[in-house]
Amino acid sequence: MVRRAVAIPKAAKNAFVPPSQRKQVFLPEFVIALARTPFLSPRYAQFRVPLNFNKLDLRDYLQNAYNVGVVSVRSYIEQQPITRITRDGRNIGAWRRPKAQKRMTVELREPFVYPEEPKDLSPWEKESWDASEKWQAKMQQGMQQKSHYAQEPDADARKAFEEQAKELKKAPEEWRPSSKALGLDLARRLSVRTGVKSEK
Amino acid sequence: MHRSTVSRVAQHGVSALAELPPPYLAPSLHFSKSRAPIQTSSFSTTSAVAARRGRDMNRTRGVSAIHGTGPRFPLSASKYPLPKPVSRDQMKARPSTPNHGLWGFFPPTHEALSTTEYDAAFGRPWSVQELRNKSWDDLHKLWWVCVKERNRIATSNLERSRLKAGFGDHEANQRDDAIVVTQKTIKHVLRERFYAWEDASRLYAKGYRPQDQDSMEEAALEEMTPAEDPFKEGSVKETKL
Repeated sequence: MVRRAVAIPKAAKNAFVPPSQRKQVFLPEFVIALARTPFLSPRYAQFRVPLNFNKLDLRDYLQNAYNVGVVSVRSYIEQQPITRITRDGRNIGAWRRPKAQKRMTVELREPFVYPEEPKDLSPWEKESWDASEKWQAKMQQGMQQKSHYAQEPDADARKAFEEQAKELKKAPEEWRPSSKALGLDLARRLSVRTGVKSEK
Repeated sequence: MHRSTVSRVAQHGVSALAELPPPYLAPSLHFSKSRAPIQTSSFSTTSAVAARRGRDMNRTRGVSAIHGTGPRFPLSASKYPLPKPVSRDQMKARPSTPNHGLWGFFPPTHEALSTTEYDAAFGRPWSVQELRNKSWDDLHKLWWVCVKERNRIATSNLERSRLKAGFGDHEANQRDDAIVVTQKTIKHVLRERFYAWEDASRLYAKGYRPQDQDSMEEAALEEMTPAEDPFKEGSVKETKL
């Protein structure tokens, strides 16, 4: 919907505005995250902030939104290493540098200890996650080594055959056709349907 | 002159020279007859004039933090014993601070990261119809609730990826998306109000005065007969398509 803008009435020129109200943000859209810093004392807390953030922004934000007193702020921007764009699970894309990260470390008036790491990771299903990661990595490796894939022995299949053979040796069963082993007597069904008895 | 010769002379006296080969065979092992004057200089390059005479007035002369000399006279803090370092295991736990503002970055259970179940248990985003009835103050408060929740989710995500804790990324993203929808709805409602204000100010600039209009409408309604009332039931003609 395109509309003709109407001028918003402004405050009178030369009117005094207190410094705390000169940069008012009513509906902030940025997100900041508190990072764990075991190498720092509880007097310090580190935040991941957007790149356009400055120290005064963070101090005012923490004071007004979270009621956290801040003594001092230090900041640095961490440049990210150059990587390639992943395509088909292979790093064959164009080279590019990911967006840099800005971190700000504040000195707190009241010390704050970051909560401990959870010891039991079952709520996040750590085991199955690890298994899926492993499987995915293996599949990717298989994709990458496609040229040699056929020449190399299938270790998993060999192992499976070996185990099956061992089990057969342990408890030798009488061989039966799979139709009988699975309970599908196809010959009998056929005779019932057609009325012709198969030769014995 | 060769150093070994010198040491031999020093040890065995001049008689050692007699055992040396004759000088025409090994001239380097013998003193030369005509010795050249040797140019010498002292090791110190400071001239005697520049050297200090007696004590200066510096009381901390020779006190070094690097060499650990210690102070030359007791300091005011010397009467207190030095604190001894304690290993990390024997350190006392810090008193908990349940009212610290930074707990706002964590779930209400005060855990480092929220569980998958907690992240998945959320309702629906606010709808436009619901938010149209809210005042600016209410909308503003709701916006800040959304902002804080998004910060909390970002903190949890950071910690989960650092720990490699496992699943939970999808649930967190779903929750985040619902919050973003609420935020967009708030902006939508505010935009509607702004447009209404724009229209009203434009009408006002044209000379429209609602109080006059209301009285005019009332007068018009009074004049209107019931049959002409357009809002009466049954007066709307149905159009067949």
